[in-house]
Amino acid sequence: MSGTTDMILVNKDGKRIDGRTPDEHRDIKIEAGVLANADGSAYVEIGKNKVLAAVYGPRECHPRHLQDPTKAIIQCKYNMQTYSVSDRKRPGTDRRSVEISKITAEALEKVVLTELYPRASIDVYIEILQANAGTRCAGLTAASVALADAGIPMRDIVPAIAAGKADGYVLLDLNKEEDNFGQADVPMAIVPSTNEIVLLQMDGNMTREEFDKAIEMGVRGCHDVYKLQKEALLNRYSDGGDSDE
Amino acid sequence: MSKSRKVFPGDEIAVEEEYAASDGTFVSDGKIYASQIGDLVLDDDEYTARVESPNPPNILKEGDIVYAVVADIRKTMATADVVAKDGTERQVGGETYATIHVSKISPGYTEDVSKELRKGDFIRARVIGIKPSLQLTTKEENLGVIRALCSRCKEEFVRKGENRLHCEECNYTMSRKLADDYGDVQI
Amino acid sequence: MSKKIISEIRRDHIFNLLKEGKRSDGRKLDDFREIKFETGIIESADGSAVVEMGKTKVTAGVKIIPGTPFGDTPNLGVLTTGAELIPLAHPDFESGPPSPESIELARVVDRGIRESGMVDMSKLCIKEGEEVWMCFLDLYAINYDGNLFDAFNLASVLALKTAIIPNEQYGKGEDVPLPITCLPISVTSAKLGSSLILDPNFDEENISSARLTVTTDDDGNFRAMQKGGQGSITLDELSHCLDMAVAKGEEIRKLIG
Repeated sequence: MSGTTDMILVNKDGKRIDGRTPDEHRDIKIEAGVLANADGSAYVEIGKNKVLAAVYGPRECHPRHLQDPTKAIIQCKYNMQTYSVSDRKRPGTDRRSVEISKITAEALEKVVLTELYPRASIDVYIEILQANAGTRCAGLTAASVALADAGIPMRDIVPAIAAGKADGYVLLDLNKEEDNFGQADVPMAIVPSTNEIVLLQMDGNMTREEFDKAIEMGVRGCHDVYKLQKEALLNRYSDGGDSDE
Repeated sequence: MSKSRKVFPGDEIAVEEEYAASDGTFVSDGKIYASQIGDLVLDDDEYTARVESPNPPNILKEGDIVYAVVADIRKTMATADVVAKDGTERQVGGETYATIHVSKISPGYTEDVSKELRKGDFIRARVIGIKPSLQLTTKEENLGVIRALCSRCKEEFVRKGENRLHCEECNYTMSRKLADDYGDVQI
Repeated sequence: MSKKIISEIRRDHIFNLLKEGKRSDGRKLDDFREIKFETGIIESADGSAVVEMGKTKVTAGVKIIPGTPFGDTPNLGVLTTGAELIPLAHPDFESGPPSPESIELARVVDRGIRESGMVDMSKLCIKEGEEVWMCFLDLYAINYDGNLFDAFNLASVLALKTAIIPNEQYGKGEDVPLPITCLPISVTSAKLGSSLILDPNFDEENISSARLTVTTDDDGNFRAMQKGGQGSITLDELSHCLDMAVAKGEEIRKLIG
């Protein structure tokens, strides 16, 4: 959103630099149950983003002072690996990852039946192996699949995707160039059965009309992601897969 | 008398008028939804709707065999921390602090808890109650102590006789309620 | 913590098997688990690899960036190695600052690469005293089932071996491969009772009294070692560890070509 470029991000036929139409998402690959030690896990690729998510729990809550006697708490940790971006990222937590961890946990809180496990913790770990715009949505999408893989009782599975704006066009699922040189980015996540929004951020510049269009596009994109999430879980559990992994 | 199909969290599976919501489901506005991925079981004998999860959270229930470490010995009971449920690698969710009443340690009469169990012993036990607190028994043959260290020199105790342990390092002998596979436990 | 207690409960059975020269997963004492690897898995890295040894899985990535040389080595490139034991890999791993375990892992891997001269640092000088290439090697455990020393070492070697110096990105000409002189391979022996085993899994590692990591170069010479654990190693055991490190190192070097 910050940079400027002479690059034409969307040509006059409405084609984007990677050949997509404005309302088309990048190739998405989702796999459930990819880690042996985690209670549930998922691997997600959205375009060039590569993301792993692991879930542990419900388990004893650490630190203990965070325990809630009425329900389980969801603790999320989003981490970008050092070589996931073009400049080396310094290892460890920064303010951006703390914020993303917080809103991801809150989005999942809406669907997880936390009241079933008082005092426990459900821990979600998201590792970004390779980043190319849209990692928070890829991370949340992976985390939802990992939760379902872990058998955590939920009202629904949460999908996430971003909409945005570049060269004046409202676009679905911005790539790196559109994210860097476009005019707006709107990551969102929904509960598919009700279309309720559980994650929403926006930065840039949009009219009311453009924003409405972005939301409409994003909701449809989320439903596409949701289908792929279910397919991944079905693949995991239909061929007699080992449930302990 | 049951049908089975694969369902996902959020799938509507039945109405409350016909079935009672059971494991792996939740109810909203009179409708029953799946809360876990798994096989839907509509039981037409019991009139229950439930989802059988292939990878459910590991919550202890009566009858489960567990592994635990003895935390404390009191006059009428021992306390223990449950570390695992038999048959799964998954961490135990929910309560892990358990008690073993003096009458539930061995098949015979137990006069002194410390002659059957000691702090730090690894035990195999069966869950006999979960409310108001987790309760265990070690009465059965394959239940009881499965690994213990000599309380004098911390060398490993070797089994000697049905319920006796011997330390080959310092020649110390103690009694315990032993599981029948003490010395070669496979989990 | 609970997984370590389970290893303790398994101790008797594992030791009983070892007395007959067997291991719980059917391996011989000096067998590694099946090794799988893939390089170039992360496009945003200048070199990367994933390595699996049984259920242990790790990734390594290298970022190569121009920077200022150290004052005492004005014409040499710089290698920095970091390892993270992220919670995703094991229920007992916690997030936060690097643990002593992860620091030891990174330093032992670093030592093998550095002391073997695997990367020719003298070819990483851009302008003496002012600018050299800095190689940041970062290691992540993805699933932990023992022997991170050897898994991290192998992933590091594969990532460096396939790394590219990104000259183009910094306007310094054409991209070239990172100059590599040899393949240092570490082989870690673990001591359980009086038995020495290779490539310990999680349970074996937890009930071992000592371990010895030995890194050899292409000629089978020793380039780095690290003894760990609270137990001791006899001189005879040391000799056996060294023999195994040379023989196994050779095998693994052939495997990765």
